[in-house]
Amino acid sequence: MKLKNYRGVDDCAVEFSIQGVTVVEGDNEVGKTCIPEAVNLIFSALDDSGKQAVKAVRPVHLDADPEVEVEVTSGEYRFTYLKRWHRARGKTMLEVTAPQREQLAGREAHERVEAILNETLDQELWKALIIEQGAELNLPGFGGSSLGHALDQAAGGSEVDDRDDDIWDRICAERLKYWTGTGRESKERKTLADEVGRAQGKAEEIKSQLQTIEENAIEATRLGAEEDGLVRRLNEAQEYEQELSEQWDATEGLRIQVERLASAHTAAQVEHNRAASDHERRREMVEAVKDGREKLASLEREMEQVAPERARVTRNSEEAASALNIARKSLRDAQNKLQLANNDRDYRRNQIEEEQLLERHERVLEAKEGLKIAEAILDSSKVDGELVDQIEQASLEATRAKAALEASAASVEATALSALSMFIDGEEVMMGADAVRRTHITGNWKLEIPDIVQVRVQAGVESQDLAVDFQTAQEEHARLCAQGGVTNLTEARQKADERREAERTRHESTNKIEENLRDLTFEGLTQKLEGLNKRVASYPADRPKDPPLPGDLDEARKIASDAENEVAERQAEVDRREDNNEAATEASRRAEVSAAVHSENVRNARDALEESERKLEEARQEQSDLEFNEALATEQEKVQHAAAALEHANNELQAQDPDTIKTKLENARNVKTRAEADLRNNQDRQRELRGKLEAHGEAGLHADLNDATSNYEHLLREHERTEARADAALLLYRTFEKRRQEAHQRYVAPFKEQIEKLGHIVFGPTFEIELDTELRVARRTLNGITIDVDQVSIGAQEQLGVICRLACAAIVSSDGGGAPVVIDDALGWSDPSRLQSMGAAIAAAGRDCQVIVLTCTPGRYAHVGNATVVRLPS
Amino acid sequence: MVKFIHTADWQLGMTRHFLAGEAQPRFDGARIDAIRTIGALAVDEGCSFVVVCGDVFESNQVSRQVILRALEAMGATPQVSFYLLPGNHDPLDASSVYISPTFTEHKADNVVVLADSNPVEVVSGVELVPAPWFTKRPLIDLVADVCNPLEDADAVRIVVGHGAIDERSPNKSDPALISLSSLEERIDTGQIHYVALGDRHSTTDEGRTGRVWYSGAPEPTDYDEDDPGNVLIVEVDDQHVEVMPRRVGAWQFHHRDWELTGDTDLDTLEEWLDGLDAKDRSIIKVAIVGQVTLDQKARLDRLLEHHANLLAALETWERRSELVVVPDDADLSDLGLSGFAQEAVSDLSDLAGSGEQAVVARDALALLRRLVGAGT
Repeated sequence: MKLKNYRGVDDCAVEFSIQGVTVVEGDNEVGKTCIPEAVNLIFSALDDSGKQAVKAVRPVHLDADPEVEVEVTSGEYRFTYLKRWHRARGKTMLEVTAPQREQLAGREAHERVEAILNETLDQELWKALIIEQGAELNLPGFGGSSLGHALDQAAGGSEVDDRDDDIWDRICAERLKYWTGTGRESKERKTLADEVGRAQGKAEEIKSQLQTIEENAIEATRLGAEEDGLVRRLNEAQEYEQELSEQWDATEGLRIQVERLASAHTAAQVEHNRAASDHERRREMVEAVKDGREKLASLEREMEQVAPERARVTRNSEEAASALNIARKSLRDAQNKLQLANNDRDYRRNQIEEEQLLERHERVLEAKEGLKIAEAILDSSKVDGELVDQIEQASLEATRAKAALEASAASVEATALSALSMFIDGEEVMMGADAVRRTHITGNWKLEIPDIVQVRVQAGVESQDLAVDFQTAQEEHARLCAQGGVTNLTEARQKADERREAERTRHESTNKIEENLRDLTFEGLTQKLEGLNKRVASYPADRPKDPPLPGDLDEARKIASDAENEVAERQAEVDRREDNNEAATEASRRAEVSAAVHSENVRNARDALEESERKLEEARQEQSDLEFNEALATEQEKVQHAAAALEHANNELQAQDPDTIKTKLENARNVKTRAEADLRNNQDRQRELRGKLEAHGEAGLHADLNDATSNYEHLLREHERTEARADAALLLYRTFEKRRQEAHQRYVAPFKEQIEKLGHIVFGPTFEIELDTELRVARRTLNGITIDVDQVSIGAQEQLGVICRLACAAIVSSDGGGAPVVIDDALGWSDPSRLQSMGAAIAAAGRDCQVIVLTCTPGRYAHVGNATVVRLPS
Repeated sequence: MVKFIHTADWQLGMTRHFLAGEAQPRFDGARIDAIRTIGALAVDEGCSFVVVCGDVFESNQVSRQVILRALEAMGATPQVSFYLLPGNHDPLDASSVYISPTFTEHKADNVVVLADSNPVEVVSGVELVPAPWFTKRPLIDLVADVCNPLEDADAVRIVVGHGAIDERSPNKSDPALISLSSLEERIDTGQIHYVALGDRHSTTDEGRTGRVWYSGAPEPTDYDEDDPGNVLIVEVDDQHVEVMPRRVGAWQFHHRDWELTGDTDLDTLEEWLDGLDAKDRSIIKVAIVGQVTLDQKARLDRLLEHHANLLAALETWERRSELVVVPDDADLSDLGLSGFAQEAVSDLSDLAGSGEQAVVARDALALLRRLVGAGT
């Protein structure tokens, strides 16, 4: 490449190795970065272009036209291409040296180069393999490039060319005509299916309408045919009704006559019934007299037959009554005897009870006395056990206080040397000679021998306090004794013992009273005792002398028991006699009643007979039996005549069968009504149907149906064809996709292998990568740890980017196509050790492809061992 | 001797689902034209009248346009009377087209509906004995029914009927079948002299007398008609009858089965299609069976597509067609694919051989071929 007047470069020529690494070194601003830019510019911009990109490369320090010349190998072509840019003086020169020589200038040259590049250059790959200075760090993808061809060949598969990719695109496009990206039915197919449904529905609807019309027409035809029959039926019904009406009218006279004769027959019947009734009454009266006589005779016979029996029953009754009286008297005697025996027994028992009650009364009196004394003691005693304990405690306290006082108090002992009188604490004390008086001083103490001496002694403070304590204890002791009405503890204990004794006596007396009173009060007991006294005392005088009073209670009891047995026996005898008497009395009563009834019956029968005979006689006086018989016969004859006339007229009427005529007439009228209704309904329905048919008749439904059916069938066929195409497109897509994926997996392997081979140089032997479908590095594994590639450091990402391009170029170049990797001052993020290993990797890749490194820091690529270094002039 | 035109089964208003676009209007127009042709023919041939033996209309529910155009066409030759018999398609029921306001208001004087079975004297000494249909499903032999009351003729009697005759119908239990023997007995006894029938769309001389005819439809209506497109010019009296078919139809229906096994068969099919006359009035249905390659299938598709544009209609008889498309080596190599695409084609070829997915796989291969072709 030669640059002239290009940006800041006046004149510069660089020769790159076709294979291997070329490191172009130069300081900033010397134009090394212009190299990739110039390559793009010479291929894209015409020499008279006014593009900003062209203006930008014009040198600013001199008025000269920028010029670039390149010598290029692309595919089988080798050519030298020169372009100088100027709006008027632009120049383009092309000299092709292989495969055939060509020499072109101007626009022709430009277009020829374009054609050559279009034919031989993978533009995408070319761009992907350039790492521009300052460009964003990103890992290249090669999915759309010709890497696939090379990879497929490297993988040993058959060649995949652009044509296959093109077919694949069309298959995808074809599938998308029928299926959504997610594999669902496309909107167009759904729409078509809906249209088919709607078309079918419409055809069905019209067919249904036509069916209705046809049914209506058939019904109308049927109704039309039926109408004539209905008219005939109505006419016949009307005629028949007329005929029957006339027949009915003809029977009317006969019916009136029958009714009249029926009335006459009824009247005769009434008269006959009346005569028959009178006749019957007379017969009944005659019968009544006859029956009365027979009945009277019969009753009188019965009276005579029952008289002996009645006498016997009366005798029996009298005998039974007598026997009963005797038994009752015997019972009363025995009962009196029993009463006396019981009284005697009670007397003896009362005697014993009187003694017992007297004893109990005395015991109660005794107990009541004891109770009274005990309660008096208890009422007067104020000392109980508790108070005794308190007094005892207070006494102890006073004794202790006294002992303490005496122990601490000063002691004054006065000994009278001669008898004298003196005053101690104002109280005159007489002392004989040698008498000694000792005093414990617990307070102020004063001894005065009048006119001789006055001694005052005052106890110490401690003694005074103890004296107060002693005084307090004494006061408490005195208070408690006063409370109990005693003077000291001994007396209190004595009082307390007395109280306990009184309480025990009260308890025992109370129990004794309760035991002897039992369920009585004391007054009750006293009254009961007094009552018994009186009864026992008066009884021997009050009772009869005979028999004598039993000697004791046992004897009295035995006599009473015997008397009870005797009473029972007599009572049984009385009961038996009463039963006999009652039976005999009842028999006698019944016999009496029967006799009375018979007598009454006889009297009644006689009275009734006399009454019947009187009435019959009176009636016969008024109208004889013979006259009644004749009247009845006359009425019978009249009835027979009326009945015969009625029957004759009835027969005549029945011969006309009026019921049948009436039934038929009513039916004929109903038939006529029905026929009228049927005819009316028929005509109404016909009018309705004709209206409907006229409304639809000219709507052209037949054509509509054909149109709808045709439309449906067209749509249905189109739908079926579309569905078949959709299925075919889907199967085609899936089959291709499956194979494409497999192919992808096949040619990913060598690319991966190549990247990892270079990566081992840089990152070590544990380095592995995973590629995505676009042949982009997705994940990196190092030392067994796998992370997404965007999580590795910026430096490592940059290194991976370089390695990927080198690996791609190495693979593609092995196909003979050649692929230059251009690295414009990359690896700025790499540390020295990593730069060292990257240098080795670049050198290794350079054995298979062309690598061009542009740098202003030559040291960064010093480790690329086999590099050809080109130094741009400053 | 009376001379008249015997025709039937105009079926005006008929539509055919396979006629798309402009073909249906032309088909409709041809049927109206046929009426004018018949009128003109009657004039030319000196016919006294035209009798149309049923199914004048496709349905009682035809559009006003159809009725008006038919009446207009019949009115074009006012000197010729058209006697129209209601048939099974247009029975004289409550929905009949013949009692519609459009028909009754616009009916020309030369148009007569045979609305009952009373004999009609059409010219002196000639009477028509019509057997109109009053329902779509009559339960008796209508023709026999109108003939039964006839006494010996003192005029030329022409029975006008519609329906299938008993000797031709497969459904012998149909009570409406027309008894041919009964008619022939009446012809033999001179009670009637000619029986003009409609319903069968193919021109047919029925029985032994030469006096019982189906005129056939003046324009064909379907593929299964043997000799449609005619009307009959009839000259008849008690001693003589002459029936002369005259072609008036302009359209044709054809159906044909084809077995395709290679390019030679395709050549034959192509020649046959090329050789069809009046393609724009031809309705063709083909049933195709056999086995072809992708290339041949593509050729067949092109061929059918081409003629579908030329013909009034070109149907493929799906029910009777079974064409297996099996790609051969040449097909696959012609695709010019390589790599994974070649492998996928091979997979599809395997699937296309047999099995559930065979048909879809063949379609997929055909689609692939089209896509490949689109790229070249």
